[in-house]
Amino acid sequence: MRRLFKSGQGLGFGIDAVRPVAVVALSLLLAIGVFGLSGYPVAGIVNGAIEGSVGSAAAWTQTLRWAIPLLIIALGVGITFQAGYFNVGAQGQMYAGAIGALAVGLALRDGPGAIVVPLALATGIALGALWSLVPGFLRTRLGADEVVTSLMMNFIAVLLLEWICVGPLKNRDGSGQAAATDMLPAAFRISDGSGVSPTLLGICAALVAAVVVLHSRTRAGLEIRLVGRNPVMAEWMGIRSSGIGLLVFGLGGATAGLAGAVEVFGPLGSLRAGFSPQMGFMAVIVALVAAFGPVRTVVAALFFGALRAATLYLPVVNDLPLAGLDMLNGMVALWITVSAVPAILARRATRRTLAAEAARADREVVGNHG
Amino acid sequence: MGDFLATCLQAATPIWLAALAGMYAQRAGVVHLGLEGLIVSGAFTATATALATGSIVLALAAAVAVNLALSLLFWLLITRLKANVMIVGLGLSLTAAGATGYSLVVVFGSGAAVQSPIGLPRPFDWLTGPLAPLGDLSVLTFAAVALSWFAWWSIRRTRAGLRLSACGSDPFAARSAGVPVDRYRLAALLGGGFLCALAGAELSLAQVQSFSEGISQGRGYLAFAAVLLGGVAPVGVSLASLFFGFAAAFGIQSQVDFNDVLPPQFVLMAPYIVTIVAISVTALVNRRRGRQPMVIMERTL
Amino acid sequence: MCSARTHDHPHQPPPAWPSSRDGAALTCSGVSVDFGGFPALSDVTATFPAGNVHAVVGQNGAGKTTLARVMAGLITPADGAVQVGADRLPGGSVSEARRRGVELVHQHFALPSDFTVAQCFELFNGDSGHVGAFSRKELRRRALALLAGAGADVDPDAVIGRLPIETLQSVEIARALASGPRVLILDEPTAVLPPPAIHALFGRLRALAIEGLCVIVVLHKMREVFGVADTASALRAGRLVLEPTPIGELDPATLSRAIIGGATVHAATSTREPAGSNPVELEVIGLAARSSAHDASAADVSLRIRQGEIVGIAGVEGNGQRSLVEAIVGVAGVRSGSITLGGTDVSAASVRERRGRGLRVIPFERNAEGVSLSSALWENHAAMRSSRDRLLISPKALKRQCQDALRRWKVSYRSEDQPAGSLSGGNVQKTILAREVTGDLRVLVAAHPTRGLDIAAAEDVRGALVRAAEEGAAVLVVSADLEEMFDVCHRVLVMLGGRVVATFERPFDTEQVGAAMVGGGSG
Repeated sequence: MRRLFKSGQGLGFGIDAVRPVAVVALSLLLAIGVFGLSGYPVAGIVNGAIEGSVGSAAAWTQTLRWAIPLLIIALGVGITFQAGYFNVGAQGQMYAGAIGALAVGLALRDGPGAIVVPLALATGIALGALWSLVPGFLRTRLGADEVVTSLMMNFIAVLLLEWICVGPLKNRDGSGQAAATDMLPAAFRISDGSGVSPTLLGICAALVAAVVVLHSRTRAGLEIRLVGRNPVMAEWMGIRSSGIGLLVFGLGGATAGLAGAVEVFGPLGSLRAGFSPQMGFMAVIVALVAAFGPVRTVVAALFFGALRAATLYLPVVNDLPLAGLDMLNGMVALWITVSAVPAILARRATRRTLAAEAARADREVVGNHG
Repeated sequence: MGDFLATCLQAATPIWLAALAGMYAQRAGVVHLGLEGLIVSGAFTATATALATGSIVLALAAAVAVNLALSLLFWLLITRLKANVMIVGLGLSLTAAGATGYSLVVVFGSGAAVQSPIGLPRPFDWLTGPLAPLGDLSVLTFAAVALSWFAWWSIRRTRAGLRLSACGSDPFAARSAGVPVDRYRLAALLGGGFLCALAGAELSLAQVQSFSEGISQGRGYLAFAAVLLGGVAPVGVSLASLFFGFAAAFGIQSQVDFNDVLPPQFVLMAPYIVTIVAISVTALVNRRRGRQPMVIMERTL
Repeated sequence: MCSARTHDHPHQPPPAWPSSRDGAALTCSGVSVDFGGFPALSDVTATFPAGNVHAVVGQNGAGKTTLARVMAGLITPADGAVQVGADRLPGGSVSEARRRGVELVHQHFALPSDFTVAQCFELFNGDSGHVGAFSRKELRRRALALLAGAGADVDPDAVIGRLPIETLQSVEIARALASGPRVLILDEPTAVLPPPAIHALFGRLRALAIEGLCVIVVLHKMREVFGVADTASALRAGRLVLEPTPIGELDPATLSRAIIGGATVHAATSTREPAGSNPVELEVIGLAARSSAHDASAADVSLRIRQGEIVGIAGVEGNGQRSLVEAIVGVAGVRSGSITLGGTDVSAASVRERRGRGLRVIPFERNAEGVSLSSALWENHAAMRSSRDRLLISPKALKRQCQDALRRWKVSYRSEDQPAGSLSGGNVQKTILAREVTGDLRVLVAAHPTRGLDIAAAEDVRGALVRAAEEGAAVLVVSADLEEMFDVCHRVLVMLGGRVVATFERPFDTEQVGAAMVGGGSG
């Protein structure tokens, strides 16, 4: 376990509000700088971004439309990360959930919505959890690295979705879209194409409340934190870290699956191959920026949802490429976990850090030889 | 048959080069999830430079230069600024994907694929007869073979290689031996940046001679899987990469052969499923032998 | 082209070491080290002349290891400098220190566990600036020469992770001597060795000093100091309280006063004999358990502990004690045999179930197994799983429970939300006791319960063990400190190679127990 967790050192983020805000601001400035240097009018972009994200009721709707799936996934991602498991398979889990929900919805298309919709959402949740439990099981029972396996599960889900869209659930109306499925009956949709509805907001609120309770009021939440910070100690205390591992993989997958189901029963109505390709990684970034706190996750998801809305709006007003958003998100990921001030700023602190590091290295070796 | 082998090697080359990069990094104690980003940036820079200058040498040099700069940034973030290795790696991949997509539009006016006027040299294109398929292979495929040997030699037969490995397997021991751990990590990452530049160039200048958004299609992550699958050893990593090449070639081939029997998507899933199975079996075997799980992550999250 | 070469074999390995050594005095002047606001060393000034064995003594946490690491360039001092002969060492550079002839042998060794012995020698080969290509043959030949020169009988192709601790130490010493050092520093080399090996080691160190080397040994046992050293110096709380003083001018009482300072040593805790009719609370029969790294696996271990009884496990570290404890606690698997808690067979039960039956543990590594350093105190206090747990918790109530317990144990802390890592070692150990020693305690397994604690804290912990027994618990103590065990235990078992080789009853005889620990006696 030595390399996996330095003893006693877990998710030791400095949980302060300053760093995430500073990191996001820095990345925004850098991105705007790049846009400016490559010839786009900076003022126009800033105005456009504000207009497209919070400038009007429609803009707010767009912001919420993207914040909702991000929030749902990021809450689950946060739980897995907090237990010390690096599950990066949210994208695949979301696809699995979307496929499952859609399949149920289309199979029972003549059924009553009040039964079919909850059933479909539950199927989405279950399939997402199952998709996540594959790497979870391999990690906790066999020790197979979850980063590789969950990435591989993403690729498999992408191909599965592609097959669904050209194969069994292909839209046979031939509406020109090459790889898309049939539409769900309008009666099943829990929101219109805008992606915002009281039902969806209700689901989000319930989920946030549930995670808050999990965090601060349940034994499981306490154990998740302990396992994430020191799995060896947890074992000695009688907490089975493999059990907690399966739990968090399951929860992470369930929320991602729910997000997929919500996407397809909400704004999308049908599935296209490779929809929302960066959603999984974006949710990881949202969770990191929020440092896994449920309420902070709401704020972070709203912000990144606003960015997404802005970037989708900007090409309309001044041809700014959509890929600029990925660049910006990537930059946030680059800086967000920075935990040391540059040596130039704190030369005095460095010596201390080195000495402390040496002391820690010793503990590591001690732990190794037991 | 010869054609099929050549296709295997072609498909393997970019993964192979990137996997060697990942192996050096992992040996030095850095989990390299930025391989994907470095491949993309290498591919884009090589294509753009080839278009601008018409010189293949300059194209390669530019790709290498950009990747060295990105690798330096990666190193600064994880050592000097103590950021989480895996998040930074993912961030690098995400940033590179976004930045190349963005640059494609800014530089070439649209997001469509750009063609390169020149391609990588094919040193054996004069061959005929049964050896003719070899003629399709770019110089970098042969370079990958040579670099694999070099990787083996440098890791197994030099003191520098031992020191590098110590940085990954026991940084405290390395420091006690007077090894400047961070500097070795920098060297490993810069070497990796170079290799990924070649991988990118192979992708965009060897067969199709064009760059399009999403050109890498996750090959960097496959390379990372190959590193673990090959046990972070030069020979094992090379074999794992060749296996991925074989699987990709088989996928292409089977699309032609039995499209109606099995959807191509399922054939294309094969390498991912095999990776999951192989990694699980390795982990299980190690656990049975009482060894610690093969998790080589230094987690600071 | 090769005319300059005088050797016939261009790749001949260097001689193992020069026959007479070129030692040098090591001088510390005003060395201070600060670990995040906590002074680990303050203003240490001392000169250690060549040709002598210098003992540096002090309690755990006095700064001995830190001083050794500063000398070896592993830690950059905040202030002050180290000088070897006439050369001043640039602080914080191991390679510079090694180039000037300072070698450090670590207490827990610094050899990558997946390397072979030969590869380790090459890793520590100081010829820098080269790529250093080699062939396997050369590597093997060099390693054989160095091992033979250091009198170690080890296969150069053996993998480090599979070697026993004693062998590791001889490998580490051989690699330290390979560079022809002027100053050799050993950090607590005796902690892991059985007495005969300690004897041999001391012989080697004396010989090296006579050859002219400056040998500095960190020790903590009085007997060892007087057995090997020419001079002794003492550290207390990061300060040098005794400068290197010829051993002839010292006596054990003076030296121990220097180490302990003003603290008074309490009289030995006496433990009441338990009634022979008390029921057996913990019973282990024919236990074979799995082992972890560097530890023998327990084989065919049987023991019974009655209520109110304290049983000690003595033995050189790595002889199966950890394997036994892990099997009793349930964190490691049982191969065969059975474990019974209060009459119920728990061999296959989970840790949680065993804890539910009143099993409590003070683990070996308190910072790794006992607490989560980055978690809050109240979270650590509430960490233990038991069958009474409910799904929902109230952090407020848990914090109050934590506060009550920590106050009862006189832990000095500010708030229950403070991370455990911000407390000192002794206080951390007390938080573990506060969690483990509770009303429903029936079996207490304590591994090295006082290791690294100051005298007052150690006394508290020993008192807690005795009190637990008096209140009816069965207590199993694993310790390296025989005196402590003789103090509190009713019976002492000796483990060697995973087996219980001897059992001793009161009154204990140190000589006999010591002999049994190395396979020389019978019980």
